[in-house]
Amino acid sequence: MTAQTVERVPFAMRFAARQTSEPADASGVRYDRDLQIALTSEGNPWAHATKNESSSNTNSDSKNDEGTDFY
Amino acid sequence: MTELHGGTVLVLTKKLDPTADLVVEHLNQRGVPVFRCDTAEFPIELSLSATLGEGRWTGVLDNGRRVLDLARVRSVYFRRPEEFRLPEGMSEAGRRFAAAQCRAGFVGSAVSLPCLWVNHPARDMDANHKPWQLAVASRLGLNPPRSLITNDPEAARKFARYVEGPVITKSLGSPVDTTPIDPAQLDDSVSLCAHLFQEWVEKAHEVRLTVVNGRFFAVEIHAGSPAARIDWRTDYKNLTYKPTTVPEPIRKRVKAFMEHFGIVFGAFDFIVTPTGAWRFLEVNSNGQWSWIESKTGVPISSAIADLLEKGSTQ
Repeated sequence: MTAQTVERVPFAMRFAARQTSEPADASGVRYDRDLQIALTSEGNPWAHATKNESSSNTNSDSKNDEGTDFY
Repeated sequence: MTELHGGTVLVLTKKLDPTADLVVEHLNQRGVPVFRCDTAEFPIELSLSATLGEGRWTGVLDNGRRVLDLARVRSVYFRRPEEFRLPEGMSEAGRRFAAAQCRAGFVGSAVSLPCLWVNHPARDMDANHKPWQLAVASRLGLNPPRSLITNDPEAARKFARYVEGPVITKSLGSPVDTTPIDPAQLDDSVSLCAHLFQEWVEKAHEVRLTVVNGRFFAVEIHAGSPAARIDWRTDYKNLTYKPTTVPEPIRKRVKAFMEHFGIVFGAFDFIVTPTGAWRFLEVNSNGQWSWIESKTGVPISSAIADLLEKGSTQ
């Protein structure tokens, strides 16, 4: 890489948020069109099975759970 | 195919959203009609037909299983809708054209629904601007940390001298771990974009305060590791939680803050200092809350369901 092509990194990007929580396990999970919620392969509500911190990301500045910009 | 009557709650979110599921479960148990859909389903799995009537759009959303009467929406829960998924077979130009049409037609029709929104996307967007949050919080006496937004390295160095104590940088628009900085590190890379710098505020603990239409659910977050003491989002495994109460002056100011932005839901982050002072950090106007409910039992999902069922903030 030559001096002209050295990538420039914004200061705060040195501290870019790390992925510190494991994504919720969605294996075997299906969306039930009647109940309009997700169920596990055993037929239980997925919301009660997934208790890890993947749901704790807080806002649009979170890494793995960004809401869509509706506009 | 089922036609829904009696005022339906429209839930806009992706299919796999366990947080929204908790609210939908409450509504199902209460017999409140729900129509859940995702913008990603439009236009392939979801059809929209809206006619301009007397001061509003009327018509239907139809997903093949349910039909939503746009004139009978009692409230909308805006969570995590995803990008439109378009039919195959179009050129790139065709896809761009179609995406813009979908956005204007679907989103435009949806946001004009004259009913309670939790939260309305436009209000959500406003409240998401951190500089705006901090200004309003300061004006209302919520005492946020001294803050600087700049792309000027010298301004950043000057701020660090002015603070006469530790300074941190944190998320502004992109995800950044809250990190104490060494002023000697402040170089020209600051000039590449806007940055947020704040004074470091000593903390006894932090508080996640979730507010649903005037109902306050405050939970202390106690950090059990050096990393979590700086930014609890970096070390969830070493956090403990405890429901707490909110000082009355803070409650009043938070209510005023929410009224200012026109939001009925907010997930606020506060530092509580060793002397017991509450210092505003930010509000997450569409923030996550299910992990707080799971850890502590505070009934946020039922409070949101209550509000959506009522369809009114009164």
